[in-house]
Amino acid sequence: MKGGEIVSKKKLSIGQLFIYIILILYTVFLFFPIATVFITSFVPTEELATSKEFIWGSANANIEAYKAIFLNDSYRTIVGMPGLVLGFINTMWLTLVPLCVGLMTAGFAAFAFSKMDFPGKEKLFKFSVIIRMIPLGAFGVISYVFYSNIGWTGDNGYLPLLIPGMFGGIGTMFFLRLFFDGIPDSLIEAAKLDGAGFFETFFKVMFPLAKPAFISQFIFGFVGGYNSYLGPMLYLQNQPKFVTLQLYLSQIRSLFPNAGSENIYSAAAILGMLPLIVIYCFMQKYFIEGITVGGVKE
Amino acid sequence: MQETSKKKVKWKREQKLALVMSLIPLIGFVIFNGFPLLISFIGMFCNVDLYDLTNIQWNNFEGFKSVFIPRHAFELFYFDLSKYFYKAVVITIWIASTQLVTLLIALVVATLLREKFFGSKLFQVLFFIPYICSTVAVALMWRWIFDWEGGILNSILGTNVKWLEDPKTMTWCIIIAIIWSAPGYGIVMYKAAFSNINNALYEAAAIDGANAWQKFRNVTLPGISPTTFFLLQAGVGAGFLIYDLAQLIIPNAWGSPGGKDSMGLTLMRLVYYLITNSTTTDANGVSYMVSCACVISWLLFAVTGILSMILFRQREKSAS
Repeated sequence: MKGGEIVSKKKLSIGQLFIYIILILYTVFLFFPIATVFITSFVPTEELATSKEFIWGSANANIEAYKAIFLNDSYRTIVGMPGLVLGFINTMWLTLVPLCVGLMTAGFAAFAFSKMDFPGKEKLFKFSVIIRMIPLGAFGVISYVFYSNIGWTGDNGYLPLLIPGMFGGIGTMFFLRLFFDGIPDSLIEAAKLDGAGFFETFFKVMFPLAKPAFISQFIFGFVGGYNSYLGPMLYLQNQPKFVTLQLYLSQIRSLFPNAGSENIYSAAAILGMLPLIVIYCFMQKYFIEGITVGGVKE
Repeated sequence: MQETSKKKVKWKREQKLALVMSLIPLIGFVIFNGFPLLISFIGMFCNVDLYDLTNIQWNNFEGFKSVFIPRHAFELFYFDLSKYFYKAVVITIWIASTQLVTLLIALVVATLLREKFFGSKLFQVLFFIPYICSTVAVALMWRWIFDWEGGILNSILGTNVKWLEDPKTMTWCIIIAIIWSAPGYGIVMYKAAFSNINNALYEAAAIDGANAWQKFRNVTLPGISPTTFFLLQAGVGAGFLIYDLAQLIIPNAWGSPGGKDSMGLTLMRLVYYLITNSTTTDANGVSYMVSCACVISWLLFAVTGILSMILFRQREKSAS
């Protein structure tokens, strides 16, 4: 990492001042919008309902908007808890279950391709290389026709979000395989001599050594799952019991339609962004690694 | 498998297990990508039922005609699809071109961050934050900024514009939100790419008397071009297939998908609209909407597929 950075020994020059100014302006562009929703989330409803101007802060600032999200939304009468809390719970299991299972299945496949010898390996690998090249994003919505025909909509609408991921992504498999290739074969041979089988070798030798690769893939998948919107929208939109965090946030306007509810929308936006930002601040090294490496998957 | 049974090799248990394990992701792919592909392919030429696949009827290319021939769909099932389709093509290309702006911003910011100075690390950490913010929250945020009464933009500019409702401005609202949230990824990728450039090349350029711009033009740009092509490839997917930000910032208006004048309508949104409104039928109760959605999906697949293939080739070339 350090090799490419040009270390300058001069004191603050005009060029550097210029760079600072641009970077600070960019920082303002990025964080001013967040600041506006943060400010508005504390402004009382009565003031918002009557004002025709943006309110830069109120003398009567309060946390009523945050309270309203937890105490007043209609999900409480339908599902017995605030929609935001249920949304968080649903998002967690709908993200973590397919992600963890999928990482394992992709890991097993990567292990097989990297360290085992079995008939048909070459052909299967070539096939995987080819299908991985096809960009299939365009079928994200039309897949609905398939899932509705196998009955995975309505009450079963969580299945299209849960099951496919468990089979392990081919991209993830390639990424892990590359990492496994760097682990010396002699370690596998030693495990074999000790009488360890496929899974024992995987969990005792490969997994501990490839932990960074798994962590970066995990973060990549977690950010994607936490923020995913199109899938839940397609399959779970009319299922209050399966509301996800993002679905809940997208419904906030219809849940609180009264005039001056912008403080609630703003509070919802803050509550939606905050968890990942906080986790990111503590683990930003892993985040950046996970998203750059997980994104390239080379 | 047949090959091995011919050879009559007795497999060891571990080998069988390895074969099964290597097959699982492929099986998942075949089931959850292969079948949707197959059904949507058939769906281009036939009317398919959302809930009963045995009900497939050849539709005499009505799906293609409805999408491409003006007024055809309106005469068939009272929904002027081709009008929306051509509108969505324009809007989608317009919004997708934002990816180039995003790329440029990422390159400029990453270049400025390249030199190590007091606070450079902090900037880098901060600039990545918008990328991990959820699209829904980002849309809520920008809708509040662009709000007619009480929104900060009108307050600062002293204007009284309905940014989100005026067809002249609403596409720009989507584009600004994209420009806000997307560059973080490119910044991080470019930062990583810079560190892979051999420092000796810069030293050689310095000996040749190259100035800063020449160094950038002749050493940096070629050095990061695989990353540029990779980001363009990712941008093709993100740009042409955009759904969420567009839908969340400019929701469908009553009777007009994609807001007023459909100025927020992208092709993915049109596919979504057709699928969820497939109850619209012709005089005989036949619905062509799903078939039309299949046609548009395959068109999008062809465009994104060809573009990413070209970019992939370029990337391979530039890497060698």
